[in-house]
Amino acid sequence: MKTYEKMTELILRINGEDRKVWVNPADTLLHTLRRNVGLTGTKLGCENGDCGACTVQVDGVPTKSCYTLAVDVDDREITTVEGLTDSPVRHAFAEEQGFQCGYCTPGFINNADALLHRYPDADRATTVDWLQSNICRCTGYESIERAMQRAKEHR
Amino acid sequence: MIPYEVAYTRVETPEEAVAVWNDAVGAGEKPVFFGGGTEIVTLARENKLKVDRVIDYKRIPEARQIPSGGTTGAAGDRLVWGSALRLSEVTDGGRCGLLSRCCAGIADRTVRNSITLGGNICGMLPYREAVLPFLLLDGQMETVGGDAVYATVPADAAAEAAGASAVSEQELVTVRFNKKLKLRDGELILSLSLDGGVVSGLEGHGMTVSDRGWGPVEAWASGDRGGWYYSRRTQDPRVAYPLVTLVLARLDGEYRLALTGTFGHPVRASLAEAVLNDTDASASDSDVSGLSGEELVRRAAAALDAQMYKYKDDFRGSREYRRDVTVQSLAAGIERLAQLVPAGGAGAKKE
Repeated sequence: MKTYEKMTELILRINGEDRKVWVNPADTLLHTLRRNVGLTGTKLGCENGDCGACTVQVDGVPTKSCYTLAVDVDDREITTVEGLTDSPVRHAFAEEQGFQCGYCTPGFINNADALLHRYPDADRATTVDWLQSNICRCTGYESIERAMQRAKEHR
Repeated sequence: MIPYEVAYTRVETPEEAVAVWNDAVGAGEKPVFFGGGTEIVTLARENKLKVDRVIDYKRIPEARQIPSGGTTGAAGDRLVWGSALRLSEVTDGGRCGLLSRCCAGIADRTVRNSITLGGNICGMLPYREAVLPFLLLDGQMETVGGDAVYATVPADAAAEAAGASAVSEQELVTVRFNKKLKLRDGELILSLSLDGGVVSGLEGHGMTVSDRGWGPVEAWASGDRGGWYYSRRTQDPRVAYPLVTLVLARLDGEYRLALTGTFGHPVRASLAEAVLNDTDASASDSDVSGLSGEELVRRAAAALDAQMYKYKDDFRGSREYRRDVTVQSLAAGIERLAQLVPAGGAGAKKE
């Protein structure tokens, strides 16, 4: 059994590194990443679990960090967009310009990276099922779809 | 983030969960059991929910059970799903196609990576689609806390020897469910289960999913004892709350119907089932009765009207519209099951 009552020092495993952070049990992972760790690639969007801009990977599983408590993942491996420097998805999004304003892009990349790890040859239906968790308000979905195709070819 | 102080306790056994709850209440706190956090954190952020302590039960092994092995369960075996399983784990687990379909319709894929089975069924949103198979197929649940400890299996040996029902009524989901699961204060669902023989009898021959990109998402399956039909209709986008999610089964010749969205909350539509199973007017031109399929649907729809609930009426769908799409789904289900489970064939009613 483990209890966090007040502001606590915590070790979070982020992008392969142990990061010491002070968190309140009420703090979400999103705020902890951005404010305490300085990893601002993870974006604040709706804060309601709808838009997907805040998507990170927790043990390789896409997770919306806006409703995930930081203390809940103290024994997990967290991956943000900053940790995906070698991901073919990230390169494919750049090559295909799979973004317009770019605000939703980190969430898309995290989700897509997890998808292709699990299903390297994901068909269109599976891709749509996963990526409809993310909203691009610029509606750049066609270029995102092209980027996904290229990422699959890169793998 | 949650804009007020809240304590977090992670428990690893059912006993710890009950003890922490009782201690918290004894200390004057308002605790809440915490799974995926999708509802608790977002509501608390908007100050629509006030809690003092969240009790994270996701590491309790009993709440993480998942049926393993092949795609069918043997007769008499229980297929048990821990309440802390993520919906995506339930969906990907694949031991019950009907449960997988019902879970796959909820929210979006990434959110399903967080929402737990217990969270969907016990949450504050009314639709609770994951409970439909447990309502339809007389699922059981195992809970702890809330003044009593219930156990599902193994059954009480003495009662079994005496030929009595091995399962107390209190453990049946249908008995504890009225719009939502009626849990006592401090009661935690550890797991939910279905009869493996029933599941394999309804879908052992395989499942088909149909999504044309518009209209309903449909699925159906059949087995040695009958089949089931699933339909989910939303206003337009796939990721949306349901106008109606309907599950219709024909098990050993008897229709069973459960739905949600139509009235907001899930319902086992017993009045409509009685109409569908009324064989008094048996004749040759219908699969279950002397009524034409159209008339059967009309009477079943009238029976839905007679349920004691009001049709949900909101910006997604008016009362009349929800009723119409429900009737359409019901008609499609009856038609599909007539093809899957022909009269006199597999799953036909035994005289």
